[in-house]
Amino acid sequence: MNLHIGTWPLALSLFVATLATVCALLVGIPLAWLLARRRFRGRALLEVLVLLPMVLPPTVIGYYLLVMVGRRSTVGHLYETLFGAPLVFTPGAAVLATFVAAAPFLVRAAQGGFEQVDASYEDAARTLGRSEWSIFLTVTTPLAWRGILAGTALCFARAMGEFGATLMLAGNIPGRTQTASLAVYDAVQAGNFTRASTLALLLSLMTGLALAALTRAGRAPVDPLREPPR
Amino acid sequence: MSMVAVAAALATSTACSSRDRTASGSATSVEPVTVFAAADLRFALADVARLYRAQGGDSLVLVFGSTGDLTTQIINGAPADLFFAANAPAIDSLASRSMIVDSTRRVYALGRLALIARCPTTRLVSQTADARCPAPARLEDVAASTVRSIAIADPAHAPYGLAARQALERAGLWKAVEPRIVLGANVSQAYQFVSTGNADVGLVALSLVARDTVLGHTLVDAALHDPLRQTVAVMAASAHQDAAVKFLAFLETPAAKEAMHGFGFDEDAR
Repeated sequence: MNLHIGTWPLALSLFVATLATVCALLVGIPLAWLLARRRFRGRALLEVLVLLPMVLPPTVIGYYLLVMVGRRSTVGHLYETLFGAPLVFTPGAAVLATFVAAAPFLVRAAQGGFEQVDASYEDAARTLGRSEWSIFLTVTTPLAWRGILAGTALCFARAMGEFGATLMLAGNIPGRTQTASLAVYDAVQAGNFTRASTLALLLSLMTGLALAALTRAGRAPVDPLREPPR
Repeated sequence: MSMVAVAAALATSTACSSRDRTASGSATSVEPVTVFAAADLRFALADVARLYRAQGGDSLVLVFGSTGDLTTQIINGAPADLFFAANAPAIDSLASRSMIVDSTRRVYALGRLALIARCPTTRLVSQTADARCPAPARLEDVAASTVRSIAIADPAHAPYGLAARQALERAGLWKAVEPRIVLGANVSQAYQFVSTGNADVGLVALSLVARDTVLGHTLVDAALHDPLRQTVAVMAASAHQDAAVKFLAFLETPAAKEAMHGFGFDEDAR
């Protein structure tokens, strides 16, 4: 019983962070490619908008989301009509808040990855008659994988630690929307420092391991012929 | 992809744990009753909920926060079945939106403010009653020059914070202490500031410190603040109104009343 009360927030955090990261990959990679490879009107504005959640206080993100998808908003009203229950204060709301807060980290790093891909490879593929879509999928993205992986790691780590926006949009309901970071906050308020320490340590360990695994996978292979830099 | 596998595994584990919850609950309701409660009830209501379950009652999910924060969340669609506010105006504002079941509304306790001080030394082990860290004897002592920080809940949305501010104002101390006030997001955070030794003194709910084995307390004259008529109501949008009413009925039993009494809530509150 104690075990499941103790581990539930961590399971929810993992679940929310994983879903948010998957969403960030689906939306973020095309966006990063667009920003790295295309010049269009409003590109600078889009770049700022995409990166803004990285520097805005999470409470501001939470507030904007409440205004945009809360029950009194058009989107929130539509959602409630469609699904019969409001989006706010559900695990889905936690995923949305976490996605908005964490996705910019993926976009930023993936954009850097795309920018480092030599455009002549893409040109070569074009001379072979490949479609732009096929070039994106089979040439550019595989070459930019290191940046994408680094971005995924950062995005996931940020998602595991999301607190402010989640608190505002999803609330702090044990067994429903209380993620590990919220559970730590709650345990400290309750003066339950044993629980706070356990959760904090496990959260640090899990996020640290995820970071280590992903950065290890993304490290450049060692070239035995090359002298290490001094 | 491995991500998808992880997500699937997690979804399964999440589903399993929510099934565990239900299994450990009662037969009457499939989902646990979600109780939103003012932060001053953090220890008292947890205790009463334990008693309730021990007698075969439903399992309750307790969500604590400042009354103001919780009210805002409920207005915005938070899934509360039952709301224990620390005052009456919060329930009034929900009533004006037709969000409560009017017949279930009642004052369940009268809140009292208590003065506490941090322990001069680090004492972590539970102490005997006579060895508690002493609280200042009088409210005026919080204005002493040795007191550098005074923890209260945020008066903007926490009823106990408002009561603390009123008490300090009516005692003519507010001007002197205002620069030294530190605000907790709710009253249990203000208590935590003092119990962890980070704030010198605090004006908090009696219910948080009544059974504290480490910190002593001094009651603040109730005439110094507007009465904290702690009011409860079942939410109109709740899908578990029957279960919520059952828990409210349990609060009237001698066992529950005795437990609440132990946390400093007077029996003749209303």
